[in-house]
Amino acid sequence: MNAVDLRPAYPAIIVAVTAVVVLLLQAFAGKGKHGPYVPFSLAGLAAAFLATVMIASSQERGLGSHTGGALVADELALFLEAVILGVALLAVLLSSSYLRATNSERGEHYALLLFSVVGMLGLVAVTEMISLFVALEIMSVALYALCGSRRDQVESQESAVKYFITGAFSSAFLLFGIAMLYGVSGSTSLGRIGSAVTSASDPNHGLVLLGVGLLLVGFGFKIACVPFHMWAPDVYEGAPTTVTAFMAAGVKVAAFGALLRVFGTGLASLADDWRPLVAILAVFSMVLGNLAALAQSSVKRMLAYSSVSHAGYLLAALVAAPRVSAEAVIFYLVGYAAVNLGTFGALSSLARDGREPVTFDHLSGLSRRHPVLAAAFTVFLISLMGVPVSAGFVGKFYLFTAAVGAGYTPLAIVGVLMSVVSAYYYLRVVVHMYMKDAPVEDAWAPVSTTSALALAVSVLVVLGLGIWPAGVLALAHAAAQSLL
Amino acid sequence: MLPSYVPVLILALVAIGFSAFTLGLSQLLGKPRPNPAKNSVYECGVPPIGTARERFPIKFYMICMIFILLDVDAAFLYPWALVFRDLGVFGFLEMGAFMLLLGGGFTYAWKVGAFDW
Repeated sequence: MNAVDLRPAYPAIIVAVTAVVVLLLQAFAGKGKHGPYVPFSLAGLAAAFLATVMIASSQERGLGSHTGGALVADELALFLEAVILGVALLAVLLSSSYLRATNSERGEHYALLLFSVVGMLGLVAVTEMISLFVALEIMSVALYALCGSRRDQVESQESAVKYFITGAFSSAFLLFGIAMLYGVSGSTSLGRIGSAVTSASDPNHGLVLLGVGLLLVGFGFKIACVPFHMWAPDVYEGAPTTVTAFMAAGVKVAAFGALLRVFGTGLASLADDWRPLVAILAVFSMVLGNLAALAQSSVKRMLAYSSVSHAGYLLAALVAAPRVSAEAVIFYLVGYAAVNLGTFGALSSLARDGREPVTFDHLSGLSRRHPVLAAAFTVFLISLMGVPVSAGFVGKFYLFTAAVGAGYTPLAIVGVLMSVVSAYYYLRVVVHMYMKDAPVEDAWAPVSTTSALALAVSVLVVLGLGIWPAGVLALAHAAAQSLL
Repeated sequence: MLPSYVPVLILALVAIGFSAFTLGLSQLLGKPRPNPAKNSVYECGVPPIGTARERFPIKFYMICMIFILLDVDAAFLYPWALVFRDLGVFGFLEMGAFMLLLGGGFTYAWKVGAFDW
């Protein structure tokens, strides 16, 4: 019973301590007063980011170290941790002005956001099923509360309840799947599960398949793929917009990171069994997500359905796991996180007096009032479509290449066709911004400095990944290698 | 692995069969003679007052949440106390970190007035 190597947990520990400090700042600030939540949150996240970089930089600092067989600091974990911390930094920047504009500035908001980050950091680093479940719950419970943090809005309450009920339900599925795999292998460690379930002639093969199926259902809810997507539009629409931005970017990265690790290492030997399932989920998500997005009148709902379809694109690459696809998925996640922060962040930065743009009409003539913001929004939409010179193009190219490489050419064809369909609803926003008449009075607030900074970083990431993808691709490649 | 669960299956069948048998028998042989005392809710002999679906202050919810905070705390302290010597300094520090986190939550609840009735 001697010292446990805690190095892989350092980033999460730093963020957790920051969260408690921010919570106590709120408690001691007194009624109606505000403490310095934003600087503290930013400092904590930056310190965690630095810790991640330092761990990644050399062997002695802890690259490749384990925490008691539960957490690992390999390239995949560290890379996705850095991405999640970046997402959280931008989300805090976006939140600060949005919360002021909606009169809901509270320290708890930042504390919950940081607690959720702790769960996400754990989720991408777990090598053991119980830790996976605990990390998932830390992330989700904080998010349920965040969704309902606008207590004056019934939509926010509704989204919290819906997310909580479906989330708890999906956790049960996941836990049941873990129990099945434990029953067969006698272990919760991914490595042991992997070696216990290799042979298809095993008499327990049925039990294994049941466990894998239940795991897939649980993850399906978290990444919002069809048919487990029902909660997504309501939750994305009702939650405070910066929370939606954080959720759409962070949860996707964390859940796909865990999905890659669980299915890419622990269950890789069963790939022939789960590949068809993933392919079916991918097709349904791509088709239904895009078709449903066509019919939306609320921009947030449209983006929610678009996020369902993007889960489909990512799953299409996952069929080729673990070799080529991990790289493609990891690269896509980086660009996609930036785009999600950008689109929802752009909406949130216009909030004024508790109101914010909701429908397409609200964005009419935006290019005349906010030319820079409209241009940035267009960049994000172009990336979502997958037009060249944006992260979305390079990302989709690698995703579909991975699917073709695994012999699932029809998946790639569906994906490309559906990307064409998606152009209609993404361009609809652009048409409203640039070609419709502006209302006489400007209803929306000028974009604050902090929001502008966050949006500028997102634009730079999206364009940077589109024009010079090599650097991040190399990192994604190294991360994918660590799965093997 | 599965054959070892056969006794559980038998027990389950016996339990279901026994209750079905006794309930069925009383249904067949007995005559229903209801009276107000028989139809009332059984409350250990005390006559029940009012309905159970009453509204109660939401403050109880806060008390519940804080109770869980301390309850979980105690649930972890007991087993730790048992193996305190074996875990040594490492266990002490681990428990300290745990208590500090809980203490943070407790301080927060106190300061925002969760205990003010």
